[in-house]
Amino acid sequence: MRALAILLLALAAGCSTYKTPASLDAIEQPLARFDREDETLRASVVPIADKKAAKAFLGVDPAKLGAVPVMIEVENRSGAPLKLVPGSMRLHGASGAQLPAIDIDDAYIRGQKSGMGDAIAAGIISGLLLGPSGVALGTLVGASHADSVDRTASADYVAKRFHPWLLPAGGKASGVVFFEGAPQAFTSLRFQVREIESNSSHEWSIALEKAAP
Amino acid sequence: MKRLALLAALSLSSCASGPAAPLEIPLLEATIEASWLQAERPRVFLHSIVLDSGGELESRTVGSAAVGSLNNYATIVSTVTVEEQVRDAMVRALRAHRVLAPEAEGSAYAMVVLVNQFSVREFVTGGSPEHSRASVAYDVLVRDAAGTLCFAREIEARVVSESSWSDATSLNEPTLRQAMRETLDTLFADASFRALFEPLPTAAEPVVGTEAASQPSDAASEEPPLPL
Repeated sequence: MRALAILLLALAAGCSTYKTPASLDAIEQPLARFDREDETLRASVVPIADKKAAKAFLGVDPAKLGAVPVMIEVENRSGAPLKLVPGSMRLHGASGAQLPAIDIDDAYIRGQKSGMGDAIAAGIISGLLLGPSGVALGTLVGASHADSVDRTASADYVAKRFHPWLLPAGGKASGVVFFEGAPQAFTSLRFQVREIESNSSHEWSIALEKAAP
Repeated sequence: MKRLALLAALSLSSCASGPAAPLEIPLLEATIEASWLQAERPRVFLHSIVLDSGGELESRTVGSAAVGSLNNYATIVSTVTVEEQVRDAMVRALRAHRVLAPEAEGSAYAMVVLVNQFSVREFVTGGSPEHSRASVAYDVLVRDAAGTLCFAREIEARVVSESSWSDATSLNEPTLRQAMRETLDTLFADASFRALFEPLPTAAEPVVGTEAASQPSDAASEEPPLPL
């Protein structure tokens, strides 16, 4: 009986798992959406700087992460292949700061270090509370759970990343891009668009503040 | 024996101690559908490998590792350049599918590969299992003999190794290898890419019914009209 209780307690403690919805639409917190379209692109941008929204959707607090997630949807309306240049993407803050995009793996690793994977700690703590035999069990449960948390969060970040960056005519891309820096008020998102045929580039931007009525 | 080219090294100089051969992508031939190999197809010349994001990709440094029980930081250095590595993998894949043209002249297509990402990283926090993460992404552009762009697509693979409670350094190489392999699989599974390589008609095979044959040609227009 005692072993069973230990197992149940350890399992319960280890169940504070990473769990997020697949779509931003499922987030309860209202988020501002910004749209723009012209003859080149149609784009929709949703900064996820709000702590509750970011926690719910990506399991992270942007302030702790030191990076701001932004959901971006783009459609190529130019009639020819276009490349959005990843290294050119910048989130412009009201303070004048220009936040560069970071790779999704960097964001994930930062997330892990900022407390995204809490299950292993929960498992070990439950074990400590239960005595020596519980330490091993709690560690084991926490570890195995952390393993699954790790894979789940990892797969979740990969699934939610913005891609592809090369859009065929009529092609669409969507997903999250993380920008290095602290949450703040943002004025615009800017990036280079390269025409594959001519290899010429131009800057494209979308305002992230509502125009005054 | 040819062998891979990744070293977890504390300095770039360590790369000199490894054999200079690209990372082989095994079993590629074994997974090719038989139909690929049963007909003569248009061929593509691999024109160039371009490193799209400059800097890091131009060196042989392809990632970072955490070596040993103390997880000492180390760069992962390839004994060949990223360009050589990608070229070798692509040439092998095209050759295995029997669509590689040895030279530009006479080939149906020319291919340019822009390398966006080519990296592997060992991930440790100290409190959870270690693992390796590889990311490989190319833009593949194909032009026909007239120079018209007929295929443009980003192919990408992000591979996460299994977690390990022991040192995961040994997982870096196979993880990168798998990511390279997955990009090639993605490319050859792409319907629009495959469409470029529709089998050529054989000498004995009439071309009636093909799109080309259904188009009015100059020769056809010179023929006298059929009697009503």
